[in-house]
Amino acid sequence: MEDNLLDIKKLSVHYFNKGNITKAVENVDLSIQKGETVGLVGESGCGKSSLALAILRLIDPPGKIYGEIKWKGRNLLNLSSSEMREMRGGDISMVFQDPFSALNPVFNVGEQIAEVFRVHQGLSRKEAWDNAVRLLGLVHIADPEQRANDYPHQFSGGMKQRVAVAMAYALSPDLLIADEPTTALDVTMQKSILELLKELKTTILFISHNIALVSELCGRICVMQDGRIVEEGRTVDIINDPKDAYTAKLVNSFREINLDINRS
Amino acid sequence: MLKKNKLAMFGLILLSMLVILAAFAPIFSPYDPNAIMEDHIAAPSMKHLFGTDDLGRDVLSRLIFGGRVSLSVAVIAVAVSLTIGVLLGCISGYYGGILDEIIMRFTDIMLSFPTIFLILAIQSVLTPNIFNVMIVIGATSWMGIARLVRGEFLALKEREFVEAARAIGCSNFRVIFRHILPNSLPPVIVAGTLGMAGAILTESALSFLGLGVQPPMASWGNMLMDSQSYLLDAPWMAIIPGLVIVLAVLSLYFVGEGLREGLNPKE
Amino acid sequence: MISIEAKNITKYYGKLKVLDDVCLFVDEGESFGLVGESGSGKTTLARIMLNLIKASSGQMIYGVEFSRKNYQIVFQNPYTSLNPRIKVGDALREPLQIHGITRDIKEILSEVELNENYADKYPHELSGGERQRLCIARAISVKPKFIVLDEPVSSLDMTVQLEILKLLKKLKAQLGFTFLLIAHDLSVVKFMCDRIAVMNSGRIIETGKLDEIYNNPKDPYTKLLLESVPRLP
Repeated sequence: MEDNLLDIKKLSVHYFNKGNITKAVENVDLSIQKGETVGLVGESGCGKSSLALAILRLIDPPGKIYGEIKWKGRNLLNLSSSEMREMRGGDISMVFQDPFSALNPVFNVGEQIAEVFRVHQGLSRKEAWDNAVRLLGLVHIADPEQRANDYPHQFSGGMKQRVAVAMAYALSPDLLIADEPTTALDVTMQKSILELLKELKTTILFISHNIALVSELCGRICVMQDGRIVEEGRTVDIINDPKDAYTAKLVNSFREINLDINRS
Repeated sequence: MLKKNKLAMFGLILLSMLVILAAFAPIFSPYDPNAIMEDHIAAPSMKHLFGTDDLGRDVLSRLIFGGRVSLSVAVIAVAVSLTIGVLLGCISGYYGGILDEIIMRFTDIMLSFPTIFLILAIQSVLTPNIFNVMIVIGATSWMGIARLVRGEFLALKEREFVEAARAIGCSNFRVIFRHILPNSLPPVIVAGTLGMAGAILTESALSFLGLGVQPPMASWGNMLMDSQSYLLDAPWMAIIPGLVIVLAVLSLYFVGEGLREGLNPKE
Repeated sequence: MISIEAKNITKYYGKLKVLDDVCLFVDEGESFGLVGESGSGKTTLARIMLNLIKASSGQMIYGVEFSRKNYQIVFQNPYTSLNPRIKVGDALREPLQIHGITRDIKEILSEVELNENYADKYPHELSGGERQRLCIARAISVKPKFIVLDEPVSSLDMTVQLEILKLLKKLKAQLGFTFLLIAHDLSVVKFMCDRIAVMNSGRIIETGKLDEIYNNPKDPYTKLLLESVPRLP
């Protein structure tokens, strides 16, 4: 209980637009313990991405964050911009849905990962590069010394996402947030990214609209609807005995389409 | 739509005032624009709000009737350039291939001509009058529009809703005019307002040089021509038409900007 | 009786071979599934089947006269396959006008479970699921014999996916069209289809009855696809 890495209390994210207020996230409580893999499930528009961005304080005006985000006891919302910048990538990092936008097309892949080390840890070019190659190997990119010289367009979607995971994992963050990392990928690549995430030794917050993916990876699930968390609990409980009507709907929709596919 | 942009609103109001004055010129004009009155080169007064010119004609009345001329030249010239530009752009962008090559090379050739000299050359051969001014300006300013429309078509024709339209059986004609063209209009409309501003300036320049609207018919441009010799004695003869040209052009620019912002977020 | 058949279809984009000697057929009344991941060529094949693009070689055989009335398609992305400036009602009237069919728009809307007041809305006012219903309505309004469903639910949330798939099943039962469903999600294919083909890198890897392939996949790629399907514990 006291081991909470992340303790979110009454978090709200509101967007102000010409007199209208969009309440993307409304009064959310969420805690994550060290070593956990927590899943956040919800359909489009439920606010899950806004929640993720709020943790990293990446919500720009006209959006505003209210509430408390305690990281190892400190409220992230009270940190200065530079302190927060240090946190991003170092303590908390994020993998986004779209592997295309996370990677800069004009720099090779090795450079982009190396930059993380040069900026945050002040390593030399050689040290940073060696680390980049090591990370590419960690995410199972074959022939990493060679591939580090390649540009993003030379990688498939699934491999680009692996590179994005490598970048996010580079500084061994205490928390890795993955926002729909597999949604833009094919089924076979989805599976391999999931396998990769299972291997990483860090706390993970996995966000998806696919409850089956979430339940394969995570020990605990939070279900989000219209900006609020409607149910939370252990994966096995949520799947087999959903208490909230919306959770039940999500689970049952999945079950209905997936009637007894036999494992081969 | 335009409410967001205060400048655009201001431009629209100003433009509307100019248009109304021009449209109802006989009502608003205090005197006949060609009537010669006793006071030559009279300074602005209660009797003649903007003074009189060298022939004793009321400047304000000439300004209002001149507005009619200048604005209608702008509208018709732009209509001509839009018609030519949109048609060529559509065909070029949609069909591609050799048709595109021919049209684009023709456009490039037209663009390489220094248009103002082309216009001057044409006008000095023809008898300059208000009608051929309209046509000539229109026929030499369609190139930008053609390129613009072609670009829009190249992008839009790959969109899925265009493919869907073909899949339900739409003919090429229908796809072009019902599906792609309406979606390509916003930048074209903006270009149209800028084109009107340009046409006003070109007509003014032509008339100033004596190659546009001929006296005694008033236009803002030829009022500037008349005012040349009297700059020191009767500065109002130059300043006032000059100011009105600036105001008209500015208001068109503001409206164009407002349209550019307002016409986009429909998706 | 054959509804549609692809015979030795090959397609090159420049030097890239996107489709390699593809042969497949769909019988009248079947619910056929075409499974493949991105880059497998399934989308190109669908467009060649519907004469939207031309094959480099090979031929298409049609059971009934090919026309845009008889052979229809529903695209994957309901956000991009609708003209944003055309109202729902007008979008539905268009295919009817083109093919000279007179039908009541209200009736068509109710077939896809949309209220009649949707006729005056613009696409951006509709949700993803509603837009896809509209796309489906547009395709079935001319009572086609054959419809290609190109990943019809991939862009939608899971709960909405189920609704749309159920709608499609209902419509098929009511209207009796043949369909070819393209999907990368095997569970969607299982829910909808009797016979399937698996595609990879421009080739058909396996074809057969759905149950046979799912229970006894012969090709390693098919096995990989089956293993990759996310499952609930």
